[in-house]
Amino acid sequence: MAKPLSNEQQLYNRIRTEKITVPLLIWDLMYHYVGDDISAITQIVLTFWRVNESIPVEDAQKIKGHTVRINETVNKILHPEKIKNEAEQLPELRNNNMKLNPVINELFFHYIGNDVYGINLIVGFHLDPMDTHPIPVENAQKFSIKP
Amino acid sequence: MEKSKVKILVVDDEEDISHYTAKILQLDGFQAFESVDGTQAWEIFQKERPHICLIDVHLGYSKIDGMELLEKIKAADKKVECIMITRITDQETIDKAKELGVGHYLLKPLANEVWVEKVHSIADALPEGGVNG
Repeated sequence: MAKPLSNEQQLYNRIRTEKITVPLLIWDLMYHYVGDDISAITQIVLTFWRVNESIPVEDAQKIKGHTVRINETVNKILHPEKIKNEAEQLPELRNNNMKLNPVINELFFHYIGNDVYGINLIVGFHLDPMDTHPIPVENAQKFSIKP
Repeated sequence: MEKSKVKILVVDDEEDISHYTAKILQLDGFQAFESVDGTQAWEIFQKERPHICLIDVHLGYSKIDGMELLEKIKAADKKVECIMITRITDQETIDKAKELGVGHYLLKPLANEVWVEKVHSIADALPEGGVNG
């Protein structure tokens, strides 16, 4: 998991004092789109973790697919103005001018962005089509949180 | 009830979630069935009569969504244990599910093994012979 930002406490103070909120629609989109991909990655990792096996190529590629989708979705939600092609925009945001406060953007980007980047690095490093079991279980465990 | 006799239906429109969730439950010794669609899930329910159903509230493009599937299942057999998978922003849906007798919820994203423990505890509490046996 990403390390806390060096100015994190200041950001939380700003959220508190400036009463910065995240619109319900944004939360809903995050849970709907990103939530499904995070859940899918968790279930893939848990499947192999429970039997202490490495993750096969085919399944690792699925993880990669989900991280790509998370990145795309986060960009669409946090920076809808940058998506010029209307077909690629999230329909829920198309008619809503919903610019997020930069503080929220920073936190979302830092935590989701860095974690997804970390997963991508691990998967990318091990994703060798010649290897039938590319991701050692101890590395895959870094994708998930054991209670 | 013996784990190998417990039937569990997993319904989620994200294929990797339904597939791997069912796979984890199979590895744990349960009989698990998966579906990405409400209509197909209803068919599986009628055929297999699962004891526990994990249902995603939002089934995307499915003709039967998660809540409608829940209503059909509860109308067919009130005693089936249903676990609704929902979002924290879905309070209205949670309230409706409560009215239908659902006492178990899981919030997305499923980021750890809490859901597995929940399924195990519900399965452990099933009466011998099953709720619909």
